[in-house]
Amino acid sequence: MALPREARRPFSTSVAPLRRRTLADREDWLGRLMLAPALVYVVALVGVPFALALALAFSSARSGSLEFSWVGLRNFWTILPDPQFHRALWNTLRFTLVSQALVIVLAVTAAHVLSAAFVGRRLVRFLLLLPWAAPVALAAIGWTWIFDSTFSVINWTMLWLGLTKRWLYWFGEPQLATAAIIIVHVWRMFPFATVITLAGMSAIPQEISEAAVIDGAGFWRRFFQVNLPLLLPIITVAVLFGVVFTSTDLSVVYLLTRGGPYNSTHVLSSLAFQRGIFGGDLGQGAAVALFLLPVLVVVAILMLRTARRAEVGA
Amino acid sequence: MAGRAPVLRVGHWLLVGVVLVWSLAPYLWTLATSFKTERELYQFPVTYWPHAPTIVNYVAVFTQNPFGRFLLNSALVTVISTVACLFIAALAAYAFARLRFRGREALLVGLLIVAMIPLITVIVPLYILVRNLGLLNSYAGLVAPYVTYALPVAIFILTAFFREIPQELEEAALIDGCTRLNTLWRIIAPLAAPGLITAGIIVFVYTWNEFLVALTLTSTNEVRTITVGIALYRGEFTFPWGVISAAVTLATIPIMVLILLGQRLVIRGLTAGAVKG
Repeated sequence: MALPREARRPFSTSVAPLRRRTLADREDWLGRLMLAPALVYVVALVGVPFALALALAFSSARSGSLEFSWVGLRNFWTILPDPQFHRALWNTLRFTLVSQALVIVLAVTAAHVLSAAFVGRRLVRFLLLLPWAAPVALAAIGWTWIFDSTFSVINWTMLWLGLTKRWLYWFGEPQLATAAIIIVHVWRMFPFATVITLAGMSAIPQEISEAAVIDGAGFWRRFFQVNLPLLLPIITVAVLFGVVFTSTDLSVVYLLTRGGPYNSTHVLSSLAFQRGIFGGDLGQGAAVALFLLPVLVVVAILMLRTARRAEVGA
Repeated sequence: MAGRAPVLRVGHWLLVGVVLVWSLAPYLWTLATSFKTERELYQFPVTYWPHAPTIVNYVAVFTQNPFGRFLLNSALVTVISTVACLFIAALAAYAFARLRFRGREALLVGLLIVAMIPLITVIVPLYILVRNLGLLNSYAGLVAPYVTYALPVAIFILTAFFREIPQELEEAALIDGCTRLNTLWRIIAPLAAPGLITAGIIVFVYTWNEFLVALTLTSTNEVRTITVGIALYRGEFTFPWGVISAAVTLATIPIMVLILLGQRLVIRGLTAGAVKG
């Protein structure tokens, strides 16, 4: 094969540049071929549905008929003044920010406790991975039993310890329902963030900490001025993961409260699901879900910047 | 730590204990509940430890409910999705890690953006697409979206692993006359085995746990996966908490085993994918 090819290129002056070019050409071709299956999948099952979602948000499509009739901004004019939508938007922000703030504090504290060498450290790390790895939908079911209106183990324990005098109806009062959802989100993300922070801590050279000790820095000073700044990139990554998961999650709200009581705990995803899939108003459901995008665009940008900085640092 | 005062050591163990109890509490409670008799479940005061441990709930799980079917559905869908996803992701990751071609960076960024699009935004159109293809309530209707949504993560992890493999090995193979695909199969794949296992575990975990897609695209017990199956028989039956707890416990075991086996790889994969993605 090689010979006739050479013959077809009478103008090649030297062999070396020609070989390099053909190899580069092949890489180009092969690279695209190897990416093709992934691209086809992603375009067909994310790209197309996403374009459709945009179109749906401007249409009056209902689940019964598949006709797309263009209604312009009508879906948005319907949801924007809707108090339920305001509530969902506010809840999404609130649940995400509060739970992630708690996750940071707890994860950094726990990572410091667990970073010391002790017997059974590997077992502890394994156990910490469970809440992240095990199905959150099933864990949420476990939590509904823990928060049960009559047999709540939390209530029994708190009464027994004298921490509360009245019976708490976790899913009956908006504040308690909010607390329950945040507790489950923190529970789910904090072990994962701890494990990531631990991995980041083991990457910090021991000498830096030792140098700080020799220079006379106490525990808190070392923590705030040496360890924390060095850990910041990896903590940011853990938190961004948490933000993405918490702000888009449907299963926790859906299984714990179904948006109740009195629709006070709906988040954007559960409201979109309720309006779009249950209610059959596909256009409105799609429009509600679109409001998650700005949050995620910000997260994506932050993630890219952190990744780049981490690469420069490494 | 060993040289410290005993008071500090005890304090340290207490703190470790608090962290563990908090992160395992729901599982411990579910486990305890699954061994209680119906009478003990609904009695006052609540018992922390089953007084008369019983396995009736576990027997009931397999005899009264289509639990076995859910388990089989989840296993089939998850295994097929994981294998397909790994194959496609390995090809793409190799291209990203090793080959130079125009638009590589743009495609990587594009992939990250795709990974950010929340499922809830595309679930309605996905439902319409799958319905029009006649794939509602079928394994294929679940596997296709699962492969797609796990692809970005798998590609990021594998790209990070591929980059760590010394370039010289491949160059030697290429010079010795190995083709690119042969190099991938004979040289890279064995060396990237830890990466493939890591990505495999993470994809498996995501797919096994998935809830929204399975809830939307299935409506019969024939194809329902375990997460949705268990979540829905909370409504169909009158809250048999013992049975539900037993089912939850059983459905969590495969993931526990997987994480126990691949703990170190998973942690490495998560941080590699996270930082270098």
